[in-house]
Amino acid sequence: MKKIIALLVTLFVVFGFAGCIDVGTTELTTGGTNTSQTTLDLAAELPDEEVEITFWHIYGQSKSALLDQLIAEFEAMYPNVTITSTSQSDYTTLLDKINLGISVDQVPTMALGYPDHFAGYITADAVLKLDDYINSEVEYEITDSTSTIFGDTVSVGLDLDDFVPSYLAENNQYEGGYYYSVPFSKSTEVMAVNVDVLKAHKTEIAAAGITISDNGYLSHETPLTFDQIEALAEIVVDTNGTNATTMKCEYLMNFDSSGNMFINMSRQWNAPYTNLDGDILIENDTTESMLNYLQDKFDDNTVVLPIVWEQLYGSYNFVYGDVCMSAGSTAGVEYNIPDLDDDPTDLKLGMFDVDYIQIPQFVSTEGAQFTVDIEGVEETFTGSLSAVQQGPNIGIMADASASERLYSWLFIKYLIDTDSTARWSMDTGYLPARLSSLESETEIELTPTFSITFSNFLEIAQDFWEADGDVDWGITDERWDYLHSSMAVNIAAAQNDYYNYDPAFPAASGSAGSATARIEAGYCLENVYIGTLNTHAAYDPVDALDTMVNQLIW
Amino acid sequence: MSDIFVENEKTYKRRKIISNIVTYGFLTIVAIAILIPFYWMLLTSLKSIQEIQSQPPILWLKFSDWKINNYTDLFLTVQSGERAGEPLFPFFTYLQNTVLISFLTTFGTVITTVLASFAFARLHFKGKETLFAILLGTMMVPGEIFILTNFLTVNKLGWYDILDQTYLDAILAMTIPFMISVFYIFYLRQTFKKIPDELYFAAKVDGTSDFKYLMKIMIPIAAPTIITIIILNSMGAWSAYIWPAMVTTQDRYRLVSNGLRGAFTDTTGRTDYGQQMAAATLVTVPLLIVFFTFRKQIMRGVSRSGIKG
Repeated sequence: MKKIIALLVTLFVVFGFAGCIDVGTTELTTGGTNTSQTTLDLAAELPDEEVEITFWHIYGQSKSALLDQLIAEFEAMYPNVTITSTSQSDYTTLLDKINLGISVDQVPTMALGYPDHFAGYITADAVLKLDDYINSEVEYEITDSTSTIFGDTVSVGLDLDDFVPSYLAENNQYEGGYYYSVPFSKSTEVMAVNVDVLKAHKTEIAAAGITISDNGYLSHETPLTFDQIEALAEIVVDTNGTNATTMKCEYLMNFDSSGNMFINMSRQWNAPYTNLDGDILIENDTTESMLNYLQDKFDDNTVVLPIVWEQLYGSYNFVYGDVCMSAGSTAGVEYNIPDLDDDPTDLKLGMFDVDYIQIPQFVSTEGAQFTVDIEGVEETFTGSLSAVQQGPNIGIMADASASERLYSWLFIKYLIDTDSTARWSMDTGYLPARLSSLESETEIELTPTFSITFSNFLEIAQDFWEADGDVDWGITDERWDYLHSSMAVNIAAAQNDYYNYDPAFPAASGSAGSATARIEAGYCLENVYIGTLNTHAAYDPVDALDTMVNQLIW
Repeated sequence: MSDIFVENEKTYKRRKIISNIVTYGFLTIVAIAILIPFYWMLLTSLKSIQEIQSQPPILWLKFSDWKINNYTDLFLTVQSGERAGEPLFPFFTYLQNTVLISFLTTFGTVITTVLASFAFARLHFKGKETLFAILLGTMMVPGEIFILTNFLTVNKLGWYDILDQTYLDAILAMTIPFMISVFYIFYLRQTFKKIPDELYFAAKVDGTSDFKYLMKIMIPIAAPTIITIIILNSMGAWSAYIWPAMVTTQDRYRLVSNGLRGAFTDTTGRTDYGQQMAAATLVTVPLLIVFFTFRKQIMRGVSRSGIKG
C-alpha cells in the first residue's frame, strides 16, 4: 500500500511540475513591455552617450566579412556606438533563442528574421514599430569631430518610394499595416535554360510562336506562358531519356522548391492558400484543378521535381542534361553552370551555354483569362502574374533604450542605403531591395583586379544578350565570371512588378505557422508527383490536399 | 569403433567450420554496416562538389583524385574586416571548448552521481524511497522541457547576458545544468546495492567513516560502472548541440557540433558537404585517439553495462 501511495505521489509531483511549464505558448505570450506601439519622441540632438547594439543574424564566416566592414564604417560614423554582431548559425536557432530570450528580457537590440518570425514577435509585443522612424522628418547634424561624417546632416526618415513595392508590402502586412521590419536580403526564383538545346530546335520553336534568337536565347522581357511551355515540351522533351543526338532532354522544367511552386502557382491561378489569421484555405476547387493540371504535366515530363533524382535541388541534373530548364533561387545561379570539374560522362548533352529567363506565367497580363485542359476537359480561370520573393528582413526589438533604438535604426538605414545595398547584393548574390541601387555608380571591388559599379554589373548581361551571345570579350575577361549572376539580377529586376509573398503568421495552439504551411505545401506537391510515378490512389490531388490540411490543423 | 570417432570428429569439425563461417560472416556484415558511415564521411571529405553529387555515387577515389583542399581550406584565415587573421573555421577554439565542457560536465556528474547513489544505496533516512521514486519520475519528463526551465535558471544566475556574457559565464551555463543525471544515479545505486552489507558493518566496526568507506571500498568495487558513466557522459557532452547553441552569445564560446552545423551552409541553404565532412573527420580524430588509448576500459565498461551510445 505504501509503495502504491509513493508511486501516486511521485506521478502527481512529476506531472504537476511538468504541467506548470507551458512550452507551447511561451513564444507567443511571454514578456512584453508594451512599448512597441508607443509613439517615438525623438531627441532634439543625437545622443552622445555610449551605446552598445547587439545584432543577431545567421551569416557564416564567408558572408560576415562584408557585414563586419559595414559595421566598422558605421562605428566610424558614430564613434559612441559599438555594434556586436553574432551569427546564430541558422534561422531556427535564432528564432528559438529570441523567443526564449523574450521571457527573460534577453533579446538582441536588432535581428534578422523572416515574416513569420516577426509575426510571432508582434504577438509577444517584443518588436518595435518602425513607422515613426520611417515617416520622421527629424534631421541631426553630426557634431562629433572624430566622426567620418563630421558636419554632415543625417535624416531619420526613409524614402519608401525607392523600394520594390512588394518587399514593402511583405513588411507591413501585419495588423494595422505597420512596419515592424524592413527588407534586407531578398532573393527570388529565376529559370535557367539550356541554350544549346533550344538553339538546336530554334526553327520549330519559332514556328510554335515563341520568340527565339539565332543563337537560342528566349525573351528576357516577357515570361513564357504555360501554353508556350507545353509547346516547348513537345519539341525538346524525349520521355525515353536525354538524347545527345536529337538534343532532347528527358524533362522540360525542374522546380527546386516544391513549396514555392505550390504557393506561387496558387497565386497565378488566384487559388486561396492561407490568410493572416492562419486559416488554411487550400481546400477549394481552383487548387484542386491546379493540382490536377500539374499532375498531367508531371505525367508527360513537362514538369519535374528534384525528388525524381533523389536530390534536394535539380541544378546538378540540369547540368547533366536530364532537364532543359530549372527554376531556382537567384542566390544559387552558379550551381547551374556546367564546369570543367564535372565528369564528362555525367554531361549527357556535353558542355552547354546557360541563360536565365523569367518564371513562366499562365497569363501575359494581370487578370486575363486562361484555359487549360484538365483530364480532357477545358477549364477557364482568371490568372495573375506572380513570382516568389524570399529572404530575411531586419527589425529592432522593443526591449531597447531610446538611444539604442535610434542608433539601431540609423544602422539599418546605413545597411539598406543605395551603396551598401549594391555592395551587399554583389557580394552575396542577394537582390537589391532598393531601386536606386540598380543605378548605383559607386565602384565596388569584386576582386583585387576587378571593380565595377552596379549599373555596369547589370550591363554585363545586357551587352551579352544584345550581342546574342557573340561578345568579343577575351578569355581572361572577368566579365565572364559575373555573367550569370548579372543575368539573374536583370531577370529578377524584370520580375519586380509581380513579386508576391505568402501571409505570415506564427505557430499557435491549433494551427501551424506559415513556415510549416510552406513545407507542407511542398510535401503536397511531391505527393502528387509521387502519385504519377506509382499510381497509388492515396496520392491523388484530393488526398494530397487532405493530407496537407490534416498535417496543418491537427 | 575408431571409425565412429573419426566420423564424429569429422562431423564436429564440419559443424565447427560452418558455425565459424556463420559467426564471422555475421560479424563482418555488422562491422561493415558500422564502418560504412565512417568510410563515407572520409570519402566525402575527399570529393569535389561534383563528385559528391555524381549519380551513381562514386564509391572509391584514386589517391590522385583526392581533394585535399577540403581540409586545407578549413585552416584559411579571414582576409579583412574585424576578424582579419582569425581562422575561417575556428576549429581549435571549438575543439578546446568541447573538451573543456566534456571534462567539466563529466567531472561534476561523477561527483553528484557517486554521492547521491551512496546516499540512496547505503544511508537510511526518512522518505528515502519516496524521494528516489520522485527522482526516477523526472526521467519521464522529456528533456526538451527542461530547456526552458534551465534557460530561466541560467538567466537568473546571470550566466546568460546578451551584452556581457563572459567565457566563464558560458562555461557555467553549459555545464552546471548537466552535472546531475538521475539515470546515472539509478544505475550506480543498483551497483552499490550489490555490495554486501557485511563489508559496511565490518568497516564500521573498524571505525571507518561513511565517506572513507565510500572512497576506499565502494568506489573501487564499482569502478567499471563509474567508468561506463564517464564514457557515456563524455560522449553525450561531446555531441551536445541545442543547449550550447541556446546559452552562448558568441561564436567563440560554442562547441564543435555547433560549428559543424552552420559554418558550411551558403545563403541558398546548400551545404558544402566536402568541407563539412573534412571538419567532421578532424573532429572524430580526438575521439578515436581516446578510444584506442582507453580501449580496454571502454570495452569492459560497455560490455558490463550492456549499453552504448
